[in-house]
Amino acid sequence: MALKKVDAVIVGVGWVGGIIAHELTKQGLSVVGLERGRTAKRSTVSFQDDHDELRYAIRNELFQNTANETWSLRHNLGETALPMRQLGSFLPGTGLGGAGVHWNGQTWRFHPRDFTAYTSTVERYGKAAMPADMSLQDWGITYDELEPYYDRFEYMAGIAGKAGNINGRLIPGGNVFEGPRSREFPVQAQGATELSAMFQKATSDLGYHPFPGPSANLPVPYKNPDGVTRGQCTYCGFCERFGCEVGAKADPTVTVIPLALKTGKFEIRGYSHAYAIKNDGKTGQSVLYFDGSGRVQEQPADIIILAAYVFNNVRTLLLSKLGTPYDPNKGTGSVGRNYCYQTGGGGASGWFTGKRFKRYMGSGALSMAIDDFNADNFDHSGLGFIGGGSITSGQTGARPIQSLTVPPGTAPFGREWKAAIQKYYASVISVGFQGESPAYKMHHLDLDPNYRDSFGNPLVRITFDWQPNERKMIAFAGTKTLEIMKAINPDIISGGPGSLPAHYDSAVYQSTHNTGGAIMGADPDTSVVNSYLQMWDAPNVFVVGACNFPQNAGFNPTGTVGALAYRAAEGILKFHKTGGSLV
Amino acid sequence: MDEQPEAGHSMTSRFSRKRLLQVGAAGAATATAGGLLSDSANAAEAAATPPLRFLTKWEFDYVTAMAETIWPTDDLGPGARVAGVGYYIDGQLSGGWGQGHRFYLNGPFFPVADSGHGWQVPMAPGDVYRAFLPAYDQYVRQTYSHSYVELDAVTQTQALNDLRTGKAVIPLAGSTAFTSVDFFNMFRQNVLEGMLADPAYGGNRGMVGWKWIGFPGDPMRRGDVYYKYVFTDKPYPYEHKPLPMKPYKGGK
Repeated sequence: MALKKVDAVIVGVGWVGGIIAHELTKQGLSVVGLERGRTAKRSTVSFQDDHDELRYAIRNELFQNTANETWSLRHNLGETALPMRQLGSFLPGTGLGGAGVHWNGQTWRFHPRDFTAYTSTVERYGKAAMPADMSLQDWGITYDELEPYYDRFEYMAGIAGKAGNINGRLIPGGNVFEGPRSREFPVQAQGATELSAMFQKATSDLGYHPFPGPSANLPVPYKNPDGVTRGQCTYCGFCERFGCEVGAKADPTVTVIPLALKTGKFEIRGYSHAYAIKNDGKTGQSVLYFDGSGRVQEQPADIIILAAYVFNNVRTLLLSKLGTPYDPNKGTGSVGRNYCYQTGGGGASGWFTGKRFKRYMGSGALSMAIDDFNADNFDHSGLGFIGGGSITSGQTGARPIQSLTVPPGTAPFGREWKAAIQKYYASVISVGFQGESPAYKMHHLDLDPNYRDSFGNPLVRITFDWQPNERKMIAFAGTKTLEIMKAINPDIISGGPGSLPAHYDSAVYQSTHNTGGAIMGADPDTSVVNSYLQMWDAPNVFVVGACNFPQNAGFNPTGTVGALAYRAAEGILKFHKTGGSLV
Repeated sequence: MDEQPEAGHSMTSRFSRKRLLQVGAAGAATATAGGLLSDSANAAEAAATPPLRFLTKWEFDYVTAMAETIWPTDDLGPGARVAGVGYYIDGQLSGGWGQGHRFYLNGPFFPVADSGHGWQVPMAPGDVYRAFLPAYDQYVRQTYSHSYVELDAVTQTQALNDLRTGKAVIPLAGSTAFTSVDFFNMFRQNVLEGMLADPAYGGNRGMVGWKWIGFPGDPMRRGDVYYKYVFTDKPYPYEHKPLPMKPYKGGK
């Protein structure tokens, strides 16, 4: 028997679910949030025991338990997919706040060109510049249209940074390549460390445009427009994969979720595994989920919002038989289309003999960056690839198990290695590249034919591999990071043309920036949702998150995810009043 | 602000106090100072050499010898044996990780067609250690005429390099999906964990791993906020005086 109907049901209570719950309950809507993990709030006080690298960063306490549910991977359409039997390449969060609890806090806006990647590429380089199997799409929304929502997210979360473009006026010291902002960042930029100052000087001497990376970790206390006050970061160095014990890292559990609960209109149900939307092909009626005793429950609602991680949003649509599954052979359908990732590699490292930097201090977003080689900020003519990425030197906290470093040529273990880790643990500087991940016709998400989760539902199957365009991009990036490293001038340098492994490796951590599968766009044939993240096929269903990105940009995704969440909330409230399609 | 003795010290003294209280309550006037000392000594010994929870003695000695090859105890400083890496690995293999509590081990197990698929055997790490070590021992005896623990350090290095490079081909329970390189990588990672995780997990005793590289441990213990240092070139005075996570003594 179905439970009592509510105005809206949200699947997943992380950044997206928290923001939408807050916006809807503020307007008096009754909202139920279904969270697959714990809902007992891990308070800032309880995170005082969290400086435990093994527990959180190695044994993965805050992440999805792959024994219950994982993903399978194949590198091409002809291969049999194999399950990822433990966490590796990416680390989706679980529990109240989702990945918003354990993220680093790097909060970017995508470039205006990123939202029109297809059109912009064709206009500047011609259609032939793109490989035949590449399937870039425009987003169906422009940067200028999304700007107010970026602004809202940044002021809510208290993002620290320095604007490089306010209403078209370029400001040196900020990112002069960014799209125009309507106003300055809400919080002053973080300072420079010894390491980032070297990167800043070297890139500036080379004629590039360094600026402090935008951060959700407060350098000074901040009161946001909702009246929430948070304290400043201690730079403890335990950020990514950990919760914040002082609440300095913006996180839905210290911002939007408590406010939504305060309205009395928001109910969160934990250990509730949503798996399908009951629907008639035109309207979603209810969300089906397994409750804490494993029984199926049915939560009816006027409005249904999928706000879980990329894979779960797509899987729910596929299991619901809502929307048309993407067929990579025919190129038809949209659910599962344009799965993308993040192209890492091409970094350079340098070691100073006889110097020690306080690398164990830091925050997840403490960095200096240049954007000169991202997106289409540089001329790609003759380079043989499209796209680019951000180049940064960060100081995110050198937790010891994950941060030993030795120069190339050092023995891999034993006495010599032992002497080297002592000498070099604190003396290294690194320059990294985070590249775009363009979409391809064969890359997509669907349901695995062989493997199931602990409730008996098929796993998501990922079809993905590195393509020649990204290999060329990474080779190029390596020459740039090496150039910067040479200007930094350490005693020993490692770098050069970057390379990617023979195949995408699901076992090695790279990035939790999976995107696509329920992409947004202007054409119902090639996208799942419109510019309000409303499903073309079922107007009372909204699907929101990085699953909406038609391809991934050379930046961390959360800033854009937060902007889309505010955009969706506005659309949902409009739909609640008027009904029908919003575009 | 919160400068406390290291966990080991405070545990020992707490045990003595507890014992004193028990003795007092029982009114056992015959308890001698010697008896109390030996109880304390027993507690200290149990902390230093706890019983094994997963590994057999043979496996423990084998693992310890291999860990010493990775991070040796030598004239430069303490290594895996001193840090208790064997006890760390024993604890991990007996716990959730070693028993595969977060591993997806459902079938089917298809042949692995290309690289990049990671763990593809129907075994948890504890099973893998148990199956792999005797097979490796056989290889070492055949190749170097002795068991690993009996070899000199130079030959041990060679034997471990045979794993690292894949020269030693060791089918794991008949499977080729888990190679000697895979075992080496997992083992080396476990040794690093045992040297550098919080001492609460049985390794990194005396925080020798942290002291070696200059990692100051849990920043919350001193209440010393890093923002006073991170944007300066001022050295941090406690790099070689680390503190572990704060022990919890229980509520009321």
